[in-house]
Amino acid sequence: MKKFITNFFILFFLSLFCYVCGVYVFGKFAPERFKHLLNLAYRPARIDYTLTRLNDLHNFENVDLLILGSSHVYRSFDPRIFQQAGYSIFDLGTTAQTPIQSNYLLQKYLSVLNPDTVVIEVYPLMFTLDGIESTTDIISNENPSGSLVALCATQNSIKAWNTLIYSVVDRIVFRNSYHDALVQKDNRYISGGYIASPLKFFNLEDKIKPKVLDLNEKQLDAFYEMVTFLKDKNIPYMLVQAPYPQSRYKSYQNVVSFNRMMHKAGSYFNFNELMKLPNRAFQDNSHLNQAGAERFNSKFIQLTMD
Amino acid sequence: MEFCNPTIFYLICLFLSSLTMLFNSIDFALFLPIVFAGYWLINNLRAQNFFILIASLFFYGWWDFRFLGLLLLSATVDFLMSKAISQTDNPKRRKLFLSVTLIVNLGILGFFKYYNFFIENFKEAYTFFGSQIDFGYLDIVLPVGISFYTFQTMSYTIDVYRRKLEASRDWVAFFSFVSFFPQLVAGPIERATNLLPQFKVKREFSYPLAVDGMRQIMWGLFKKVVIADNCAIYVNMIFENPESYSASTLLLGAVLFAFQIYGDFSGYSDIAIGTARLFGFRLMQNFAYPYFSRDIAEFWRRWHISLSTWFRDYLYIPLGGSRGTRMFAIRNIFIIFIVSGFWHGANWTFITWGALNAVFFLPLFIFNQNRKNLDQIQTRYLLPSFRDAISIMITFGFTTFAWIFFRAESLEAAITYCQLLVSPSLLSMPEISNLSGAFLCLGFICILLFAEWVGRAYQHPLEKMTFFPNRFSRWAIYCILVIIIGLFMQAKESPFIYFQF
Repeated sequence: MKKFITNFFILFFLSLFCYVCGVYVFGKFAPERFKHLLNLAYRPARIDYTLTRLNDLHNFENVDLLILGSSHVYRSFDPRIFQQAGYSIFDLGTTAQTPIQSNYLLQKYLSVLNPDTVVIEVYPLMFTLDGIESTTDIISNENPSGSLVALCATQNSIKAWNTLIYSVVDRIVFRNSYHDALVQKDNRYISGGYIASPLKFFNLEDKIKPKVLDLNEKQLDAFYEMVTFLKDKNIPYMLVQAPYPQSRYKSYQNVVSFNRMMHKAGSYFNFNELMKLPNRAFQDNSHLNQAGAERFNSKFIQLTMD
Repeated sequence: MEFCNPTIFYLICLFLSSLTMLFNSIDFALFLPIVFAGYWLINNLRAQNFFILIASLFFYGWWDFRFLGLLLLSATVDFLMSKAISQTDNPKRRKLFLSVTLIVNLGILGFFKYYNFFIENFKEAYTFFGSQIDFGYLDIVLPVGISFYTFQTMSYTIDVYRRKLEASRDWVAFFSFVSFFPQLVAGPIERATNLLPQFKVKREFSYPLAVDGMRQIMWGLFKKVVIADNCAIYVNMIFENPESYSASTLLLGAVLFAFQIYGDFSGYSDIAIGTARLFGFRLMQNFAYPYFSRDIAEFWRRWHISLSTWFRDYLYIPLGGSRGTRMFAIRNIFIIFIVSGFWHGANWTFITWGALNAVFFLPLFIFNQNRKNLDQIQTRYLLPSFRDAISIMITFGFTTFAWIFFRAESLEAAITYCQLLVSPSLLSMPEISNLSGAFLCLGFICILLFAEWVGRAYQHPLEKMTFFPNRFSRWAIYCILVIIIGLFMQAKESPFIYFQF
């Protein structure tokens, strides 16, 4: 028995070491076209500017609005428009950010940004996801920390763990660092977390298949945890569904019950009902273009801030 | 300290609430060492059995505590009835007690598994004749492992009735035998003559047995999380929408399913058997490299051995087996295969799958060729002979064709799938999104086949590892397996296919 336990522990630590090395080697040297087959998604400094955003937020404090949510946040809330109206905001949205990651970012950076009000962007689709994509995005763009370990544990996903392992080796062992170019493929990072892109117009031809939103219990738990946390801290918050094409909004068959749930959770502004923007306000089948963002921001300021 | 942060505490609570007790899950990885340590710290046999019983009930209750009662009911009925059988020589009374066991166990199984199926078909038959009938469906949750433990307890009572076994007087040993967690939810369906005596003898820790158990667990994990779960992605894609794919893609889907179900089920069995070895128990082999079979009869001697031998001993032989006239024997063969199909689930697809296998088996039986290949294939040579290779491929073709019916959602879907296979596009390159992933699956399947071919003389390929005589090389293999499992397993845990049975 002693021999078994001794050998087991030796083998355990040996295989752990080999595993860490294996994750790094495969992640580093696998051909690009096969990397997606690995349980690893280490992608720092990408076109969505998560890295720059997480660095930029340290240049802000005591903002009027801290906005959390998906890519709708950094494509819809333009800090320059809010600044002209006399308000400071910070877009802490990231690609496919779900409530689990929103909760993590809120708790980690609330004291840094010290906002007057927190805006939680509630895009219904994000409540149906497992959140692994967003977790790996955050892991790729933050320095490893205990809170990232806890985030990985919440996801309970080997992909998140492998990405964290890669990040630890990459950033701590090999001390690699990254930075975004501020202009990537016509997308320009605007201080405050926004991404400006050339004016494009979306022309929806295809019908979107009707879909019933199957809400993920863990995402709902994380969402209510956020709301409770803000209430306990007496921090005003609002829930905002930013605009996206009406065809997509109407394809969600149970969006009415989702809206009802949001109304019960706090001050809720559904701009897909309040505005009903035409397709030419969007650059693709999900995100506002600059013209649409300007219209949305004006309406938002008028309804919620003034 | 950062870990005292409420955020981290909340995130950890969220993590704990998401745990399930799958063999390929983190919580089983936590459960097993705790039970292992506790078990071997206990020196007393009865206390050890009691510990295993509590751990097994905890394991089962973690799935769904509501069905612990059913498990205990089945075990209690069989324990009491077997005692009653052994205490009387009156044939009528013995038969009565046996009947009680069969009625209770088959009744439980029939209700939870087949109630809605019978109602639906009864309604369809009734309306076929122009009448209307209104029987409500019930929202029945199938208890995990019910098909396995009911069969296991029935086999015990039947063996007592047949005087092959003494009725157990030790309820702790008996309940531990019934609920033994490694094999409780998806087999192997253990015979009391094999497993129950092991609960009555003090187990001594055996280093070689424990090491072999760990190797078998690792091999089982590889088959389940690398082979089966990755194949499942493409199988689900193709079977959900077969009209969208070429015949070659449909063929790829059928082949991948053949390996998905093999990897999934034999992987589970390997983990179960390996886990049992850690506790000093030897379970029966459940899969003996079935895809190296040279004919269908050999396939059924190598696939899900615990179930096929159960049906042979408790249904086929009592029905008369192959004694009597040819037609009588053929009837029995069809009954066995169809019942075996029906055991898998309440759907005509499973019954058709069973019937198809009976049809494939029949010519071998009629021409007395069904007991031709009883040995392990070509153990003295590195490669199969040309004739054996052709036989293996033909047998694999037949079983894969039958698997289409097993996997399809309905008979119509299965027939459509088969019809779409017959097309000139069978010769084209498969077209599926992420084709490189599908080819990676095939690559892993090649590794599986190579390893199993080399290790076919043993219970599992890692049993002897004769190619790797020194510890360094063996440990290197283990590390490589761990890396492959970690990098290529699916991000989400997926349950084992046979849990639904």
